Amino acid sequence: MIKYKQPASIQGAILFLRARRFNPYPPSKHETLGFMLYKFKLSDTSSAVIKKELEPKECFWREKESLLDVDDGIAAEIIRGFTESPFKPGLVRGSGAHRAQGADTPEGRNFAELDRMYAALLKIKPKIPITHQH
Amino acid sequence: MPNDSPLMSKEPMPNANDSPLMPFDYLVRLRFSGVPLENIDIDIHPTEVVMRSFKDFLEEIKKRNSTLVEVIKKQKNLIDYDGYYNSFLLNQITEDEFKKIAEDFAFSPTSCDESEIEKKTLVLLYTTGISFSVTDLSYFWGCPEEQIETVLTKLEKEKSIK
Repeated sequence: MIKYKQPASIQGAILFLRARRFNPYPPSKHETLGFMLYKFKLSDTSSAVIKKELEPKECFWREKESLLDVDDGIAAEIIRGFTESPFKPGLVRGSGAHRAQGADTPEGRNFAELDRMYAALLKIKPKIPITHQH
Repeated sequence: MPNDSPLMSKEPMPNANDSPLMPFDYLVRLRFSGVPLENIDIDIHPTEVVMRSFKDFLEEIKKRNSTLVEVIKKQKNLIDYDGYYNSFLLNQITEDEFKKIAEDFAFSPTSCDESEIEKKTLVLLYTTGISFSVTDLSYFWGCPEEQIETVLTKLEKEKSIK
């Protein structure tokens, strides 16, 4: 099953990640998970699919209700997530004639979930006090 | 100038019969117009009221400045990290070497005050005009993605701009 709408996430031992753009972020130490998370963001037509299930097949991140079966996945404009070890994307076939970056993640506890831009917030104009309000 | 002029300060004007010890501190603005100078508009405002406006404005600018500085520092950190990541991708350093380096860049997201997240995010969006993703904002403010998502979704609902 592939999910396209939030909230949706996957947890797997190996994920296949693909996107036109891959951005790594500095790792973080998560309070409850207890291991180093190598964070990433996939954007510009991205997808993440489970290639190998977790053993035992249950969510290691219990707060998240994630898909866990092989071939379960998510697809969207932006996907965020983390791998347990640093991930090396290579060149793969993207959508149509486009090339993309992608690869299997290293085996471990890997997670990906749908993200989105909040572009509508750009319409908000914060008030700057330029005159004193009586 | 008529007393009901909108230019006239709403603060009570000082009275000459008041105690001589009463603080007397007003700013007067004269505006001439017409040729030859026919009309004179006089605005009188207590200095304290005018200064308060300036102080509020400066406070706001300071907050904006510190938010932008915070983001620039994080972006610099990210560029440095990307440099090492590229070395790792190009097999110039081993995975173990990279992991050691990455530890120096590691951070622990902690729950932040949601009103602060809201203020800083709006300043950033408005000042730069860039729509940052949840991952970016989480990295900038050092708090969990879930918290950023909660704040942004709430903001969208409040402003009814979905």
